[in-house]
Amino acid sequence: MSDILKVENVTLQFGGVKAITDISFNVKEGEICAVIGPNGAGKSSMLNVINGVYLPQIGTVTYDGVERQSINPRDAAIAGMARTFQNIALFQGMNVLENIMTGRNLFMKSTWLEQGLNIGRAREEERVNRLAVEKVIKFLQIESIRKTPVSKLPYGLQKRVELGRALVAEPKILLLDEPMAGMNLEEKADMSCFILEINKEQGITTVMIEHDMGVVMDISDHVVVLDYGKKIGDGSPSEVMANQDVIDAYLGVSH
Amino acid sequence: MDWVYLIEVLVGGLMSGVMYSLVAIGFVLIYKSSGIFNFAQGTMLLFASLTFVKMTENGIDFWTSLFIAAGIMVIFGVVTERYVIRPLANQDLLALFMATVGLATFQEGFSQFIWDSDVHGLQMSKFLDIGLLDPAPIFMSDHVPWLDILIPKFDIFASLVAGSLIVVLAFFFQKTKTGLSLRAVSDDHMAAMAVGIPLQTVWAVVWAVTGIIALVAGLLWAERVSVSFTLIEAVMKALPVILIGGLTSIPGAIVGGLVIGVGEKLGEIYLADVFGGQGIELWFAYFMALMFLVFRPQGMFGEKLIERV
Repeated sequence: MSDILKVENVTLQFGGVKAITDISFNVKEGEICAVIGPNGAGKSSMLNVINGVYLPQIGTVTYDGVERQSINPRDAAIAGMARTFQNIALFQGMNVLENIMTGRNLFMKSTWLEQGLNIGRAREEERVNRLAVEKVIKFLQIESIRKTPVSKLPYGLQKRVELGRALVAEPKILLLDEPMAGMNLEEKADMSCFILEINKEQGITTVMIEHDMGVVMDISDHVVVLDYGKKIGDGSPSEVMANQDVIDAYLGVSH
Repeated sequence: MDWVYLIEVLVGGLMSGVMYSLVAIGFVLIYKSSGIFNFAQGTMLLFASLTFVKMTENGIDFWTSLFIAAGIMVIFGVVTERYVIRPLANQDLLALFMATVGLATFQEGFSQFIWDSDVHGLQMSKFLDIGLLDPAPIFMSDHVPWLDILIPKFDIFASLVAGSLIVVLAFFFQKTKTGLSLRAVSDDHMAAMAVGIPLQTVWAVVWAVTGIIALVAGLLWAERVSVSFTLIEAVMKALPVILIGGLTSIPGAIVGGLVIGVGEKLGEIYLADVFGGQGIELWFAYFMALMFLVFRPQGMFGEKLIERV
């Protein structure tokens, strides 16, 4: 399998603070890559560099064969990157259906006149988009809350809706920022199943930040470990678990 | 109580209310999409109607002038987004607000610079042969036997125009991709960009649409109070409307406008004695807004901010 994403020598600074220092790693097409590390290790910053929220001072990101120093989030979305956020970023004023529908906005090509009057291309488009949304809703088993305003939903379900919004865009690569944070065991199990199924059935490459070691070791093919903005481990789950630097970072070192 | 008179007052109130709503929607659109309270709303009205009037004074016919003025407002909106709003994106909201204050000052000066600062009368009946533009009132009893009330014809015209524009806008922002994008942008800029919504395009559309609203509202107001700098003050009446309706809600702006329109007319007629005589229409709207601020600060439809501790 070829590499769909190559992060090369990326350094990101905020003023004098180095959030990420000279990090490189590759993500193979079709794999689940977990990025782990203690709090403040630079995981979210890394994800934000990949989809263009932050501009790194040094380094490049090669995605789908195109090497870029920077990209803006909209172009990233057009290029087939979809993501979720650490602190759920749903559109609070909308219901579940509308939220997921926004994920289809790149598929809406008809003009506002056609859409407003529901004529021409707009009709067929609306049908196709609605079908895609319903498919995702069914897959994530959230049929019963279709019309519920997202602000009324419990945390776990909001995370699921956010995954739905990313998924409905038919992405090539999915960036998930702590998809299981704050969930109970059962919700975590459900979410793990969804992520695995998305990856195995639809073949979508997934880069995921996660804290739960059990989950990470279970479902990922490849693990990248960051600590204080530096990469300290990179390999299969078992390799990473045996890596002394990683053990030190997580358990501490006696001096 | 004289019921016929009451109906007359109510109808009059609703009609001026529609005009307030129209101006208020301009504020709401920009606030929703970018969190900015647009101080330049009033000068946009002035600039738009002045542009229109100067063109008709130079012998250009009604529809061409309207079309050109609308075009200029759209260009103005797009330029504002590109050179005022975009460079300040993600800055402190106060900086953005101050930018619109600057924009207002610029626009006021610019209007005087390219046009002039005279008071211009606007009489649309000179250009359009529509019976409703006749200043004389309609006796409703001529049409509906049991309804013996008087309504100024122009009020009917103005509320028809304003009402249809509001309906078109509601449709536009409810049924189209742009509408969905606007709502997404108003909730979360970052997430909107991550799903591929072009933030800048949405802003530009909103500013352009606001420009067109300003033109229509400006002309309707100008017909009553003439095209001059007093138009800016007409916009002040939209402030109580958005306080009542909430800055984030288009239905709120509509209902708020109607509430203010009816409220101030009813106040003028039935409460004048309580508040010391005629003329309370001038400030009663602000009094109503004040009451709302005390008892329901988020407005009728505004979002209540609840924070989890």
